[in-house]
Amino acid sequence: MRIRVHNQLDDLAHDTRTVANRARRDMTAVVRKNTREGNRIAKAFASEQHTMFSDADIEYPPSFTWEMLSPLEGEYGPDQAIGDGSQSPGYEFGSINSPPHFDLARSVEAIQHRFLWDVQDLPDRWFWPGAK
Amino acid sequence: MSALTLDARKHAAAIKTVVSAALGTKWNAFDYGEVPGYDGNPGPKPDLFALVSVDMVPATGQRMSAQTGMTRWIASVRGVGPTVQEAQWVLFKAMGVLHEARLTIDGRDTTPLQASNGQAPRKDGPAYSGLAVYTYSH
Repeated sequence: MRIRVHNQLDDLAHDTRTVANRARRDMTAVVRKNTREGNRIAKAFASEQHTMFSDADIEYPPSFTWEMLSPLEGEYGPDQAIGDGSQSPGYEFGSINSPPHFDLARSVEAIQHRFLWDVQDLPDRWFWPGAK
Repeated sequence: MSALTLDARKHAAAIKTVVSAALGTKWNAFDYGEVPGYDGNPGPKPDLFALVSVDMVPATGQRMSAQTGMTRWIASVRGVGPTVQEAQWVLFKAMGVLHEARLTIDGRDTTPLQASNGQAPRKDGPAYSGLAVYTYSH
């Protein structure tokens, strides 16, 4: 069997228009997914720290929230207005008396690779739809 | 190549050794809770010191079935002193020997430590303290 694929400038022009339309939506989806996932991991670290070993700081993990600041910009972490969120600098960085917990720093270490892979996947999906 | 070292004590020991050396003969690096004069420990309180913490980061970037020959670590150094400037001095001295440096742990070199994050010195109990965070793989 032989398959011939003819590509012409018209097709490239069509693809380029399609990519331009899809790119922004797809990039937003990747940022949104990884922001939400980063928050989930950070919150899991905080839960582990604060509910497995004590019940004194049980109001800290629920303060972890995420939101999209703009289509390509997400933010996650403890919300100062919720629960013990205002104590996050003490938990995250520690003090003379207690070592840092690094709930956020460890979540960044975990999420950065997935985020990178997702971003690298984007162009493949634009030029070869369905070829993921 | 020697085996992975998952024992955080060896990582902390390596970091405490180089930081203590950088702080000269008078000042030292300690684990949290081990500082003389604090937490009911015997001995006179040092004016200046460094506190070291080490955390392993779970390899969540990997597939469940994957094996890895490397682990990811987060280390932190807290510089403590009676003034902001002295706390900064401790952080500066520690950074001089840690940033971009490879440590040898169990006969195997780490990747160069990268200063990644931190907190400026502020009032903290009886002293001022600030934090510098380093990441590396081993």
